[in-house]
Amino acid sequence: MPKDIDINVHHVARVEGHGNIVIDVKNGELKKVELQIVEAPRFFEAMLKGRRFPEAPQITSRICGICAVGHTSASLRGLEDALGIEPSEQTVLLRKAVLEAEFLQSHVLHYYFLIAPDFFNASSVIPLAASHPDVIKRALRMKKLADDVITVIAGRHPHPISMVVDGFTRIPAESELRDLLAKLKESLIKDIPPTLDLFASLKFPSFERKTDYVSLKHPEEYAYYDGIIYSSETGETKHRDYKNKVKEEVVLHSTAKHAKGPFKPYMVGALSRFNNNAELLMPVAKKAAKKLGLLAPNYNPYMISVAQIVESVHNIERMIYLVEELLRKGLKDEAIERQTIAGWSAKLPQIKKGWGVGAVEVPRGLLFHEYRLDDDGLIMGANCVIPTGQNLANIEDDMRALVPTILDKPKEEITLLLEMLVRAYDPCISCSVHMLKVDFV
Amino acid sequence: MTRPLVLGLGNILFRDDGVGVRAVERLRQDGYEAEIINGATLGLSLFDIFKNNEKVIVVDAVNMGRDPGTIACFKAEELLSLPENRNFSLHEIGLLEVLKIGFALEENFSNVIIIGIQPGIIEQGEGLSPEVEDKLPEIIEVVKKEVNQDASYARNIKRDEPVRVPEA
Repeated sequence: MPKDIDINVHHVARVEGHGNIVIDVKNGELKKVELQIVEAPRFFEAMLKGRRFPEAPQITSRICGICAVGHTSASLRGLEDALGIEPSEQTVLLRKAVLEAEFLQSHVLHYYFLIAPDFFNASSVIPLAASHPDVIKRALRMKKLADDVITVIAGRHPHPISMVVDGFTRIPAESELRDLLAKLKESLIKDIPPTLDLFASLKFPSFERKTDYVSLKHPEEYAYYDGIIYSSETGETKHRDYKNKVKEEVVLHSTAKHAKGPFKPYMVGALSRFNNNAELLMPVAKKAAKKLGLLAPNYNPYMISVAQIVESVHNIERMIYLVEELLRKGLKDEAIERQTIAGWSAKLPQIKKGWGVGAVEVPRGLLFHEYRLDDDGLIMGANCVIPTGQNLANIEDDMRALVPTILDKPKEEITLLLEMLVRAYDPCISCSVHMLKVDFV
Repeated sequence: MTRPLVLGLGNILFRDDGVGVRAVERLRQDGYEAEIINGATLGLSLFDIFKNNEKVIVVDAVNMGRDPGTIACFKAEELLSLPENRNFSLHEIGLLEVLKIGFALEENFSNVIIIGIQPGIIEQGEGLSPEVEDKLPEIIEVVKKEVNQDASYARNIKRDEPVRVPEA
């Protein structure tokens, strides 16, 4: 039946940052689909120019208060790639553990605080806390656990202070790690089963659209910190060649750049990682996926949140594994001196002219940091490609495919389904907004 | 009883929104002996700070629809009637949202007192407006008296009418 629908959601709720959904249907024909990004640009890349390289992880951490460890990790990987530095085994284990913690924190908050209210007819987590206090207390407990791991390993939550090029300025004490280990094991037994029971009872909207799933991939582990760029459509790309896969593009309705593959939009994030790497999940996480009805490959973007739940189980298991590895190998006192401005003239890793790329997974997807350094270790150029920027074009394609299939529903329901779709991607608009120049017509 | 924690909140890049941070910075510079946290734009982490401290004195900008620089003290429960941020997200969880989540979970945060300062200018930029800057010494006196358990002082600052939300 021909139908006119005009949807204009100004400032989508429960997503990080400011975005609008605009849909225009005339006579049953879809005329316009836009996820407008209206947040002010942040200029981080310009800010980094001329700075000394050890400042980059500290500065870029501030891109996001949720993915601060992720930005720090990508920054360190990019700088070490440029400088030709291979950090120690202990450094890598600690970095992997703290990155898992940030995934846990971000995922728990997303599925409990921002997604769950949609299923309980709650406008936000506040009425949900009143009606289901145990659920929110559990969420806060799981978040606290993740915060504790970040505080112990990275020195501070949310913005790490001890993570620097080539290592850590402080190595955690064995007793601190044992304490975390006990808490992690308790959470796996106490908090995970009720989490799975709750979300297994919820019905996520059904909608399928196969797209290109892009994530890191590693032969031995469910890749977050290390791996090759893998696309379910075009295969492998080396991290330094990321621009062959990722093309950033300026569009008028968004202050965040859109990033597309050479041929078409793609998806990054929990569902892409799950689709590409599900067989490498830890055992309890594998069972969780089964219980939640998530099988790889899955083409339903609403299931991104379910993939996040599965990953959060994996995160706890991986942290247990990594901390046990650290304890088994025995902690070495490899603490190195601080490298921020005050320590600039002190011991620094070898400075040389170079260029490097850091590619790491962060909760919302694949993150790239690229740096060019001059002979004095000053940053000549920086580029940060944020997961949400990579997902924006794909979200619009989802909306284009979804809207015609739900035109018979009332406008309010269409609007809710669209908002839930955008929320499922867990967009972090504040982080992705970084366009340098745009002319608005 | 242990000494209270003094927590300054706000975004210093939004002019007077940062008054709480500027106040605790001043306290630190003066070498004032108290546990002081520059909480800046902390969100949900405030929950544990409130839960794990015997007494917390929050210094923050509060829009009361009064003259810039007006100081008023509130118990946590007095702020609950204010509307929370509709566009609820993790970046936008602030003091009010944390207090509301706390009350919903039956954590009544009676250990939290808020010293609110009416901002004059809230826009992108650095530095306080002159009216609010001039009030800093007085704000600091209020904080010190509150820390020294002279609770009656802060609580007795006259408010001629209940706090209300100004029309947008």
